[in-house]
Amino acid sequence: MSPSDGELVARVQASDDRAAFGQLVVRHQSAVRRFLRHLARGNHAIADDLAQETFLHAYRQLHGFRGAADFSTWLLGIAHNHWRNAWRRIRRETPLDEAGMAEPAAAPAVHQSDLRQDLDTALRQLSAEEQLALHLGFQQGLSHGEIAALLDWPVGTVKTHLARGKEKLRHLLAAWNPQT
Amino acid sequence: MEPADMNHSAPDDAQIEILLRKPLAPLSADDFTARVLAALPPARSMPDPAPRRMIFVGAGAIAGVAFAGVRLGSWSKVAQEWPTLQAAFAQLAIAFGDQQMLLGLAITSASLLGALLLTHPLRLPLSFPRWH
Repeated sequence: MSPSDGELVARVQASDDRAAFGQLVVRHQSAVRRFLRHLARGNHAIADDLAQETFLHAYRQLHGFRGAADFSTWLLGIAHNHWRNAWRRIRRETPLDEAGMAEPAAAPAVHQSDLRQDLDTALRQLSAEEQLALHLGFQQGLSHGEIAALLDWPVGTVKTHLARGKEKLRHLLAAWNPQT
Repeated sequence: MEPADMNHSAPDDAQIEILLRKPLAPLSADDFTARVLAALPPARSMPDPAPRRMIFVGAGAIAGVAFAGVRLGSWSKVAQEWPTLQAAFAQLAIAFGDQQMLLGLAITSASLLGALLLTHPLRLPLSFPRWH
């Protein structure tokens, strides 16, 4: 049986066990990188650099981690902070288009057969907050409270963005998915 | 004439949620993990604190014995002072018989223990956090 996150964290805290930290990276890298790719609007290079910074930061701060939140949620919080800092820096230094994170173009007005593509296209039509809430709530599996804590939003705002996002998706997918 | 959206129906909330929850293929960890591990700071040396603690306790005990020896001078003096010491212990026993004194000691001990636990939390299985 593989050790739990808590056991791995305890091993790193107690004896600077690099192998245990490696296991934590393997276990959580996909979620952290996907979250950052979502925030960076698909810019994989920036997202992966920030993911690396996230894990290095987590390693340095691990001695202070007491398990008040899930380890995965704690990591996503660090990732979000790194993203916010990077975003401020990028906005100061580079025009949006050059940074490769311009607002996505409107969805093409053609019917796409693949449901996933339809969903992705529809998701891009939502506001950034709605996309973020849906990503964290459904793709990362966070509770309303966890999303609220991570993004520093009131729980009511999280619920509103989720509800609005789903409502918009319903209309967008209805328009793009003809029943056959 | 049929309306343009006659053949379209909006998926309900449950369908949307199923779509959104559909797991994506995990990203390959190999290169990324190697990159992160290579970028970690050099391993820090973590000396075992037990021997250092033993040295402090031992040095304290030796210093205490030496201090007592210097103050008392010889064994005959210790024997001479013995009744005084006995009287002091008797006084102490009376003081410990006092309920208010015991309550005060209990509160002091509890607050010291609380402070100790706050700075060095115990890792008991029951207090394990809700990590998965």
